[in-house]
Amino acid sequence: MDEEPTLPILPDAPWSTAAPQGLSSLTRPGRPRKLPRGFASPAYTDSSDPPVFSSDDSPALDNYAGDGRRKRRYVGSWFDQQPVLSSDASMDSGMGGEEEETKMLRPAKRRWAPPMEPRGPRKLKRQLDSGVWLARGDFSSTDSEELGGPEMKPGPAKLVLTGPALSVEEQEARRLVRRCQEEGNESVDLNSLNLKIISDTTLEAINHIAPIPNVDKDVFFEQRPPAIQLYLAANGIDRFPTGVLNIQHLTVLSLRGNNLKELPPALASLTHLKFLNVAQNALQFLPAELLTLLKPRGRLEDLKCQPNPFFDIKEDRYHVYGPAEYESGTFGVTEEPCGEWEGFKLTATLRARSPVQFSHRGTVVSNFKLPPSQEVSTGVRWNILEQEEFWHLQTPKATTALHGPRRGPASLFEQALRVAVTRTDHDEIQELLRDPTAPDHFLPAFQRAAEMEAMGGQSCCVCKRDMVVPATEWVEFRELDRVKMENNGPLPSTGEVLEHHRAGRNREECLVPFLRRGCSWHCIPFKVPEKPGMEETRPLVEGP
Amino acid sequence: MTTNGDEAPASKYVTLISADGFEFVVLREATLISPTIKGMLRSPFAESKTGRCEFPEINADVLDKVVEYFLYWHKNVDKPNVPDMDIPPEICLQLLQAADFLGLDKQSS
Repeated sequence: MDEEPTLPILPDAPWSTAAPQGLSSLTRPGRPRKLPRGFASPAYTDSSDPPVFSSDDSPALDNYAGDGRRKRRYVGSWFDQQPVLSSDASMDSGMGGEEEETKMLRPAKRRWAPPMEPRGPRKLKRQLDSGVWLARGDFSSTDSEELGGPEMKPGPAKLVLTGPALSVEEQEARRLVRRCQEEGNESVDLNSLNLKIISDTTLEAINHIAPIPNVDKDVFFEQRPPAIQLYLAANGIDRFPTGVLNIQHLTVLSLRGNNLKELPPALASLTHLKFLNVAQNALQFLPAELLTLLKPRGRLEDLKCQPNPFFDIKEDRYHVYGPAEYESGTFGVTEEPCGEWEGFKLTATLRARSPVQFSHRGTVVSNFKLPPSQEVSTGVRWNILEQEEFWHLQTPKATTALHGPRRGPASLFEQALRVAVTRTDHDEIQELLRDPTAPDHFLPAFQRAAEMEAMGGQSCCVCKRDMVVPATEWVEFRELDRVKMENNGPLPSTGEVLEHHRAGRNREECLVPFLRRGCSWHCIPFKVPEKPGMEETRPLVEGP
Repeated sequence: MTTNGDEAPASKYVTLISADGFEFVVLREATLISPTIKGMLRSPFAESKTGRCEFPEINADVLDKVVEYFLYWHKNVDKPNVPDMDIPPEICLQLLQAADFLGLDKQSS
């Protein structure tokens, strides 16, 4: 028998490589062998393979067949697979190989686990949506023990967001926006929420509202761009919410009944706007850039801006000569495209102009000064502005040769300021500028520039360049009319003036001030040449 | 060589010296956009003879940008729609101060 070659040992699964050792240790003298016999009789072999050769008498195989190697039981899910630490295994733990093996197989966290008490029959439970039956009860108890065990390591500390907490009002606004988003509702009603401040992220979500397309019979499926309507009326907002400027498809915007003191010129970027309501605010003027939203260049059909503490003029009459020449001389001849249009159109006819406020280094140097913006709480006052005829132009004495378009590069100061406001650490810069060694005019210039930057930037009304600090400012008074075109005619004169009919209006509602801003002392209103008969005037309000 | 009506024949170039001793030789014409330098180069001052202007408040990296602006301005005086210069945000505050000191805060005329 000895001369017969023995079979090479089959490569075994890693956990059983220690088995021969362990089994040989069973025969070690002095160690009483206690094998659990509860589940496997000695005659029973747990090998599923039939003996290959009957003459095989390898000692290992002998032992294999004879002793009935303990079969490992695996309980639980496959990924948790490890030999159960049952009573038999713990009794065997004295054996070197076996112990090592058990250590290797058991995860560290189980090492301290107390010996399990004998279990009753396991209860299997199936989740409602699952076809798999899982044991429950027993394991949950051990798991909970493990969780409370001494080796339980604390998980990584949770990241605590330290941003400003959202106000209750804003949370409510977010909820409403989300609901509109879910329902595909294009009309976002955030009226009377007492918001005060509305963050850009809340408004950003409005951009994701997509209308649910019409899928009726005999209707072509069509995905149209949304026509967002945003109502922010009566919220006590005192700074224009810049997030609004990012909503591309905004068609209706209502900011009625807030405390806005100024509208940003960047409002002109909302080219889809059809209806704008800024009534009952603290506005003293509107940005002149808003005029670009009027038809035919824009789509604005109605602008509700009364009441507001707008600038006003004393005169009740306006000059017939001047406005057209002034507009073409200052802003260049702009051929109005006379496209075919139907429906409502808003017209803004120039009636008067204020003198120009010249500023240098952030301080006003001209005699004419625009009144500062006022708080609503201090009582609304209507500021009366001076009026300047179109053939006059007051300039500060120091300046000469202002005519001609601006040429050459922007000043280094302006360029550096423009770079400074694009930095994110505005607070630090302000702190540095507050230093007594810094020149006094830096801080106001920077604050003003930062404010305008936050509002979306501004550009010169004459030369269309980006600018940081306006050097010239003046106010145009325009008369708004809402005209309805019925016969599709290109000329407004053939249309019928519906609302704001001149005869039916009172004095205050007549004129709306629009602020123009120029980037340099070259960007100023055009001085209309004098001509005979230029003094002719007409009353602003017709009738008695 | 031109004589600007002064006693000494003025060089076509002036030298600007920063606080840390760097010297920039710049076209005289280009520096005249700054009223401050223009004033320094007028006759009663020493700078008008030597053609060397020292700026003990301005560091070399900022003065470098200022000199760049001089040349940029000189090249683009009469051109419409000039793009802005490339200004690194790190030095923008120092540059603001330098521009204020040199009188570079209003539109050239």
